[in-house]
Amino acid sequence: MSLIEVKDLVYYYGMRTPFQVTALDHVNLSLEKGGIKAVIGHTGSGKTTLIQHLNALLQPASGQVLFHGEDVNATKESAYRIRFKIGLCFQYPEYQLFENTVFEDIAFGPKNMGLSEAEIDRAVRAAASYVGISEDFFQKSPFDLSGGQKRRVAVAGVMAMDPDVLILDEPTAGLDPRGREMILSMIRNYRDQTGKTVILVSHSMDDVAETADEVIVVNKGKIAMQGTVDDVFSRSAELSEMGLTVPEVTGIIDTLRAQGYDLPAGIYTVDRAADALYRYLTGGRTL
Amino acid sequence: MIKDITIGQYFPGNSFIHKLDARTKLILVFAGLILIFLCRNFYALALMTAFAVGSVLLSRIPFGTIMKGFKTIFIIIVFSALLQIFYNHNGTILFEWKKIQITTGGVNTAIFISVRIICLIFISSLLTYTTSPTLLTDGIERLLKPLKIFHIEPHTLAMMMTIALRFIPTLIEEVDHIMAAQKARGADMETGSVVKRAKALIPVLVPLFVNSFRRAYDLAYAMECRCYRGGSGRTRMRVMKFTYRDYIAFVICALLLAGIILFNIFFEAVV
Amino acid sequence: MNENMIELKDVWFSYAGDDEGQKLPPVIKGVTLDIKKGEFLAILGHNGSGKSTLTRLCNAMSVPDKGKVFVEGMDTADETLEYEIRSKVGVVMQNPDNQIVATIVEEDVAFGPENLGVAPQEIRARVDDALKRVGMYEYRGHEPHKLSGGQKQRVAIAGVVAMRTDCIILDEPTAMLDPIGRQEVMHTILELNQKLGITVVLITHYMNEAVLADRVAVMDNGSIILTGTPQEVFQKDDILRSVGLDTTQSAKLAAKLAAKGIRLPGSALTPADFIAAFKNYSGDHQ
Repeated sequence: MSLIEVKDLVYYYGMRTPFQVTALDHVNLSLEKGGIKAVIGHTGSGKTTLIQHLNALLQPASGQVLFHGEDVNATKESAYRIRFKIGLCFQYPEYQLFENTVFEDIAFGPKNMGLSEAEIDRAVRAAASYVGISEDFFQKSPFDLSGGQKRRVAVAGVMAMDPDVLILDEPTAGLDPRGREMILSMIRNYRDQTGKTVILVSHSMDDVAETADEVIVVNKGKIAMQGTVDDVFSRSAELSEMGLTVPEVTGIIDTLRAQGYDLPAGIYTVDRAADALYRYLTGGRTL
Repeated sequence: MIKDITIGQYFPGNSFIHKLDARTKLILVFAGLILIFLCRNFYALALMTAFAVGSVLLSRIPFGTIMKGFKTIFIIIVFSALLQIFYNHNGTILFEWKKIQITTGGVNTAIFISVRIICLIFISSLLTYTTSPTLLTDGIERLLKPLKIFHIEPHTLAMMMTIALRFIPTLIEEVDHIMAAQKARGADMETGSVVKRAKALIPVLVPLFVNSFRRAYDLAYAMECRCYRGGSGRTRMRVMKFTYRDYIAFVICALLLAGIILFNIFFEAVV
Repeated sequence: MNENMIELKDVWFSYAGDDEGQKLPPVIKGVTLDIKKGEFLAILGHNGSGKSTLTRLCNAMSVPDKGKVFVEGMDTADETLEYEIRSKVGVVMQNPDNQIVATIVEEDVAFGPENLGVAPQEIRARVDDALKRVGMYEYRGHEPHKLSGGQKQRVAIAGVVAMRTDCIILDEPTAMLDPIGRQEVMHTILELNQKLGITVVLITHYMNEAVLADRVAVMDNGSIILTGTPQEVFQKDDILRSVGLDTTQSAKLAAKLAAKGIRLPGSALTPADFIAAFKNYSGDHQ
């Protein structure tokens, strides 16, 4: 049994209005436990709508979302409880901070779960350590932090619920290279330390290339591809057609391939590209 | 979801009514509302209704669309009609059972009031349906210019209206977003006592205020960067000019006024 | 005739603190920079390096504590010139939602010229022209909140173009956009610079945007630590890395190959440059 199973999911924007648009069109998807899964798609592809179904924030027009084989929308209670099992961190989460202190804000989720004071304390400390927020910050106002710190506090707020699955919607959006690197390494550490499943929603193919173990491509409300990073990036022409820009090195190798250079497809890191070009130029010999 | 609600219900078009100057429409709607209350009997009201229905036909906005606006008002119409039917005991008795007494006076007044409200909605909704929000604020700004002598700056009022109209959809989207994000952390806004629900709004309202202040700061900065310094020395891209259409509309309205006055004199009043 | 659009001369600046008279630590520390007429200058730096404050100093929204800023020879410290300066230097900000004033696209583009007191027919002509320049003419009657991020930024750019400013400063205009929006905006910026000769100052932390500029200035901790052509600046990747910046993937790839003993001829900052250099090399060596 898969961890998450999406069955024939349909969802409309503006349902029963003259402006009804199909957002998700009979989506089928199954996700196994563990690893970082990247959900990629162009703006408006339906990727954000899809993930909001996974923790029952949105109810499908038809179809089902199963978690450990059970329908998340089975009862009102299950639709509420699933939010603690599948933690969803929205885009620009720093704009949702509201408490007086960093500690209180991270504790919001665990409090809603009905944990005891001691458990809340433990959960907050664990989450803060995953995102690299030290205890010195706990009594500060979240509004006094820098942009990157706010984002990490907000992510910790979701991690503190100790979910089985952590979903992050565009976690690096708007960050500078330093902030981006920090968030991505934080996500990798979280996966390694907890062994939990992470779903990363992104339109940055560079983020995906650097972190993902598995890739799901959403296009026009449907799942267009699902596979390993190598599989998906080897179909870069199709990705471009969907409005996704492949990493710069992938573009270089693909252009050269298209011009008749005998190079392997599906290269998405600088190291691999350098190796491939080196092998091409030397014919396998070392200089 | 909240974002499904449409606001600023403007239906673009090219009809006679659409092409009227916004100022004309503002004045005429105001005049129309007064005229409706001038009608004292069914003859005058029939004339008014003919005018209202004629205007709607002229605007080429489907009646169905305007009827949608009635959904909320419908209860008020029914309520005031029932009130008249049961509590107005003028005229001959039509029906009597225990303490309930229905009279011709009651029924007449009920119909009269209902038609009046319907006319009211027809005319006022035509204004927003056929005039874009920008033209409307422009028209208000220009009509209110005389207020300057009372040290009220009509430009500032109009600018505030424009910015409010511009940011309502953005803020609605933001509320949606924040609510969903807090729900994802287990915020429960749908169950519990009134106090509990009010408390549950804090996680939504605090970020909303904080973000709105940030937006306001950004917007003020952007406006200053674009050389904004209030209404003085400012020109407008759109020039508002009365055309023959506006004069026709004014004449029709004057004729309507004359007709209503005549009917009021010649026929007996209902209310 | 002055060749410089904006001149910053040993500029120091710090923001006022919450308490009266209190000054926070300086955010701009002795910046000297000439921005030439018609050039495309990219200012690189990570968040908090003082890039955005530099924008405020260039359009007289802030005045230096020490040093001088001149815009086309006008001293920004002279309050009487404030308005004149802002009519020469337009600004586009990061968040597209927070800089659009009007409820209709064309009304928003008209906002600047209206503030400048331009005659109505002239505004109409400028608005149409500006919207065509950024490729948003078909959207002139639309409501801004229904546009994509990239489209909103193009409307904001059109708003500056319609003011006929000589210079446009863009403060991380693509940071909140998706890759497609980013391409649209960069394309528009290049067109303005090349076709209309507008001086462009692009503040960014994306290396692949900075390489498109004529000149790059790197900021760190309130100072400019490097200036030069993209080729010159991106060669110093150790300095860039030390301030939390990076080079482009193409440049990294060329560097990796160089480490393996393959030195490609010329610069390889962009994919096109890299491919040309690679072909050149492989042609020579086979």
